[in-house]
Amino acid sequence: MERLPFLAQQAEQALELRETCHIDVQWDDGEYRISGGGFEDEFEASLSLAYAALFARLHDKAMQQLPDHISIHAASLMGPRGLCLLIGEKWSGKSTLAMHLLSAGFEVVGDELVLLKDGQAVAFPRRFYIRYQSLDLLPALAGFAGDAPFVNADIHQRLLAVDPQTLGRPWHIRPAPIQTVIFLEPHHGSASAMLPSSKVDMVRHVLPQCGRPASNRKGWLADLSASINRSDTFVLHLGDLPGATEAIRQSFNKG
Amino acid sequence: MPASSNEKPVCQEGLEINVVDDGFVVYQSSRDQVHYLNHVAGLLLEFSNGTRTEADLVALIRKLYDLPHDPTDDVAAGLEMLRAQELIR
Repeated sequence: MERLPFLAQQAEQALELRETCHIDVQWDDGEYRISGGGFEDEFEASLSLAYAALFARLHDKAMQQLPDHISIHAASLMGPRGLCLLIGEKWSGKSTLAMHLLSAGFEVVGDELVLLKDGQAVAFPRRFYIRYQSLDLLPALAGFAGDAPFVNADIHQRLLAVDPQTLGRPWHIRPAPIQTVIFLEPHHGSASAMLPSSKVDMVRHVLPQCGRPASNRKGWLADLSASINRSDTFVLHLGDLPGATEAIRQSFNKG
Repeated sequence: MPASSNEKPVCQEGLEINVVDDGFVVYQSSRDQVHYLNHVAGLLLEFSNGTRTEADLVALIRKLYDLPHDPTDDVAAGLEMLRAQELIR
């Protein structure tokens, strides 16, 4: 039960509540049965896998309500003119940078998924997952590690689930136009450098990180292209976190 | 040097052409493929409507970019690329 807070989040959301559902997790004859939400029953032998199945079911249920939205694998933070997206391949440092920005006072609203429709983007409400190993780079968060809910991503890795409000930071999720898109290229162990990117190149970077709408609505690529075209676009060679943070701060201030 | 062909290229049907500041993002539904074109290639695609020869396109690009010389080689290379990607016929 102590790990259920990993799944729950208490972000303030400026979004319409569309549906509530009931999902059961029962210990039944040597295994966990996860049922409800309009999906077939699932059976898992371990509690960790049952949590994962429960979380996936909640995620899928939420996404069913948003068939016209493009899903973008991105961390996100609020800027002065809208949402700033941090996009990169796995292990690019996206989540670690997002947490460093949070510690530095930026309003980080998501670390995994952004949903886009008709030029309005919104973070998917989910706690921020941090690897234990990343805490060395995030000293401001180390004090909260002991109390934070966690999940075992695999046998070697534990993820902390952080609510920014426990760090005294606001967490207000609301739709906004995309102000900035930053594509991360790892440059670990070196100084960070952020350079402007062409719009065509940025669409090329972002598209592999996108899931098309479930409805496959016509014009979704136009929606994505137009949103990127309206935004400031950069490639961030991510090395030192303070340098990256300052580069992002300067991009926000230029407006 | 005059353009070598009197053919009039035609943009393939079913293309979704999205213009951004520095180029074009083109979705080709028949192959479920996205193409990223620079400005010149994108203009060639848009102007390939079956009424213009390669020479016409050279003249058009020269006028649009206010070039001192005919961009014959660039237009030829652009059209060849568009044909190879099956964006024009």
